[in-house]
Amino acid sequence: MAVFWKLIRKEIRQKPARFLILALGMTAAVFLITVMTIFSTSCLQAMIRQEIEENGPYEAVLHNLTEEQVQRLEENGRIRKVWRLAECPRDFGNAGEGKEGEDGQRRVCCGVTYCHRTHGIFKEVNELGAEIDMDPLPEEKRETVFSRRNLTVVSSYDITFNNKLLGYYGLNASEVKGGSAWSIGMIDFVITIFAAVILYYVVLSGMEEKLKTAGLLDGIGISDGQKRLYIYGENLLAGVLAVPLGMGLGLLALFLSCRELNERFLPAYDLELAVSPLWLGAVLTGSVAVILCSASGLYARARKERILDLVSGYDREEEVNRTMVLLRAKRHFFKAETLLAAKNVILNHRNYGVSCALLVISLCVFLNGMMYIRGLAAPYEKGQDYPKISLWVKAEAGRSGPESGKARDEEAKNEEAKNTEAEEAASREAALEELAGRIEDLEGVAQASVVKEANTFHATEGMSLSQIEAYLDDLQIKRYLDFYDSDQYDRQEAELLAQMDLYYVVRVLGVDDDTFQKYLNYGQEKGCIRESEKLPEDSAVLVRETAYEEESFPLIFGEEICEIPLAFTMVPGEHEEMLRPEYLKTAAESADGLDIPYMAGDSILYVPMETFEQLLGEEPEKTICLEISLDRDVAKTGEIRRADLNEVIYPGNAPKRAGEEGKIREEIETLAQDLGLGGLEVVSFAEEYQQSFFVGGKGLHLMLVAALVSACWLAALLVVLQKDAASLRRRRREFALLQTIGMTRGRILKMLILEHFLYALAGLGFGIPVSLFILTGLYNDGGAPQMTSPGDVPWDLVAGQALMTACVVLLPLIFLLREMKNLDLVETIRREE
Amino acid sequence: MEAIRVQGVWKTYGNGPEKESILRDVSFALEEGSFTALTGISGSGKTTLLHLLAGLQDPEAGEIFLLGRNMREMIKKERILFRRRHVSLVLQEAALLPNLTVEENLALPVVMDTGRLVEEEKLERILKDLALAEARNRYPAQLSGGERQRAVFGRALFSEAEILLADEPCARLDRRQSLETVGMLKRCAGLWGRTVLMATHDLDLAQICDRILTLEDGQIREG
Repeated sequence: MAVFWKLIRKEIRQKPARFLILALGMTAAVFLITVMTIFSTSCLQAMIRQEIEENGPYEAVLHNLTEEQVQRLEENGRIRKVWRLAECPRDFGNAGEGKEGEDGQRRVCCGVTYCHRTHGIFKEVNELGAEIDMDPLPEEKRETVFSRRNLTVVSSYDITFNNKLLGYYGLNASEVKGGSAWSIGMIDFVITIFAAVILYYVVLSGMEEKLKTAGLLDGIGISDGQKRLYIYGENLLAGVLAVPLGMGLGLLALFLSCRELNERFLPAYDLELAVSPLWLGAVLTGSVAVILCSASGLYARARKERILDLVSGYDREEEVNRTMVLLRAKRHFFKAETLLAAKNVILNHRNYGVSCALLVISLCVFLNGMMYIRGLAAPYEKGQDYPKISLWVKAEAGRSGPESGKARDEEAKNEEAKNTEAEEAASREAALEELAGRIEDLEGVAQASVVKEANTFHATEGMSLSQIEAYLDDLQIKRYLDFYDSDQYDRQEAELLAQMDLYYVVRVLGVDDDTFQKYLNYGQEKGCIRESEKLPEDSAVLVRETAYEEESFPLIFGEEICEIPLAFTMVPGEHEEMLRPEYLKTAAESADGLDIPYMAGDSILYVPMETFEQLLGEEPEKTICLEISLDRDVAKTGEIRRADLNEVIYPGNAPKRAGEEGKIREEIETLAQDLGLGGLEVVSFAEEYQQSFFVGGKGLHLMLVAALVSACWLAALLVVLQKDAASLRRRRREFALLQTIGMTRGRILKMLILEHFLYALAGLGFGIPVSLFILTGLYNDGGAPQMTSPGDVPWDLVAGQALMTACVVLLPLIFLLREMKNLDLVETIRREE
Repeated sequence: MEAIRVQGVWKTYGNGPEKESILRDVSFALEEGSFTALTGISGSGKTTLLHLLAGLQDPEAGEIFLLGRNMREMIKKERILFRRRHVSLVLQEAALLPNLTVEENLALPVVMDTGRLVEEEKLERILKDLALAEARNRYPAQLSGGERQRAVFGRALFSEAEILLADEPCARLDRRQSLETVGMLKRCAGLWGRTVLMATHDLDLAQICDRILTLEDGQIREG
């Protein structure tokens, strides 16, 4: 035994490069396994923690229970813990603390966790309901709680499950639901496969020499055990070095990454490393198993092959794969290197097949991962991208505080109070305008626009149905109001409904002079306004989708019709760059998340502030928004540019932007205090975005998928690199022979490039359709909401796939070319002889 | 006409005090269609001389003329092209590509020359003459040592290389196979008109050749 260790040690001393490559390959494999398994588990645990924090630890909620049923539930053997919920997580009838059911008993909602988290909790839902004597639901209200091909469970009782949390525990109620522990297990599996293939190629690179020695040793009569020791020995020694090194490096990388991720991305939820002795043990076992498996193929060959074949390097298995003659044809349409490349790919189809399969997996992971990330990261609806403004200040100008509306109603009859309120509103408006001026003086602020809207202005208020119809005709807006004429409504009700329906048919926004002038300049640039044209001072800019040919726009105030001259019309989409992206809402409404229905024909009039005051100055409730753009978003031309969404979401940008905006927000708040303005809300887009982004495990999902995509491509690169290194070692003699019979080095390189190209082409040929097929599944599963149909092909990502493939294939080729350049022909021939 | 002419060739290995001249002022000439043995003890420089003739290495001094062309005056690419068309190198371990069949190995140098036709009849004749007709679709690993060497000669014949440089072609063959191989080389020279230079340390085999050159102390002598 000792002799063999001595032999192995001697071999390592003689061929340190081979041992080093083996050890490095193993380290890379162990590193990948460690990083991905621990990172994915950490993400999963963080998602569970986040879900518990946001929605509670309950795996299921039993609704509408009586006290007696709650008591039975607490005593039930299936249930680990019961929580009485103050609010029912699902909007359900009369459920909830303190409410009464039809029988007059108080009803409560209870969240529960189960003793055993298995699929049984879905299957036995009806038994649980019966055991605690719950009231069965009417047929139409019964819901499917579990669905598989051969089994569907419909709950007879009002029990709902937290499928998201259960999914994290590896229990999926539905076949198509994603985001479960299974997909994370799949990630670990894919990475382990990659690691195994890296090791396979690492072992392959030194295989021939080892087999030759094994054959020689066989010739002097070594036993099977001794042969095993010889074959496994070097791998075990390399493994002893590589496993702790790979795991250590992996943990270090994870620690540093987590620290960085927590600082940059996860303001609310910390990602903690899930490093437990159990997990480390599992990673260690997995790594050792992969290392042992990597040598098993070599040992199997050493055992199976004849001694002479081992010594001569003849691969009997490869013989089976020999194929047709390619060079026999009388005249060749392809050059020799092309034919040789094709033949080499066919003959070595197993090696190329493995690389090709990994490439296909990587392509699938890339396309689907990126689509998933896009689905999570980017709001895709038109007009929802990042606005030009970075901050906005929202203020109610027409009343002093939240209670004032009520107070106003009560004191409306009091003329004195009315006057006081108007004065207060006027002074508040003036203060806000002054604030806008002072904000513009702040460092880093490019522009502060004042936008004012009268909340109480309704374009059709007080009109009869026929008047509304006539007004809509004037505005060239087509709306069907006929149904209000039906017997269902009386006249007053019909008019009221029509008015409400047309609440926002016309909106008037006052903007400060600078902003309005900017609009006019833009109109002139685009040729919508002739430079010679003298515009009336009270002209307006109209925003609407449908055409409006008139020169003025009618606004009706009671009996009075006011014709507003139009400077020009901006069409959403066409003049998108000019318009505020949230042109359908004011910034205040955007921040409130109000969903104002915008329909074709709805019109928004931008008017100068003076005109606004003349028209709507008397309106009691107004909202003033200060829209603030920062210097960093000012283009070289002086225009405020629309920031690309990428600028916000990609690493470091959102926190950096939020930090900058936070400082200015504080300064604005101080200014507002100085001016005696209370009740202001200063909103930073980046802060809002950052906070909203990591709610519901979205950020963690994104990081996990991003890590998977990166790991897959890194592994694919390593695999191809290893394959090339192995193939170079094995094919050195072939290259030398080709040169001796007169093939130039350039043509040999061409042959190698073609081999890579063929396999890359095969990878793409399979990879793109397979990844698109999987994408339809992702779409159906709701994982890619930005897609409009299953056939909505993301061509940019398909191009990305081709580019990534080119990188993965070409980068190792550079290494190969360098090695080929250094190949000493005479030395190789002499060594081989 | 001279197929090979070597004039005052020097070749050294190593640097500084370890510098050793393996070939010292070597000069000789070989006529077209001759079959010459190059003998000498191991390490005498036989392989180096063959590598110099094949253009795989450059001499420090001296000139090598193959078919009247000075190798030193050729650029690297020219030299490779010249080797492909006019010189065939036979190594100890038969230089066949493992992924190609016998037939493909024979055809490869011709296929490499874009535009040249693979003459099927000529291929058949050579395979038949070399007793490789049965083995035409086999791979090198499936051939015996003698068959492999014959296949290499077949490649030289098919590509119509005028000069055949054989480096210990019988080193790994038994006596019968060795005699067969040398007989084949003799036929290459006599029947096919090739100039054959065979490096061997086996003096018995050398006796079969028309002429014997011996390398001793880096210098060449006749007989």
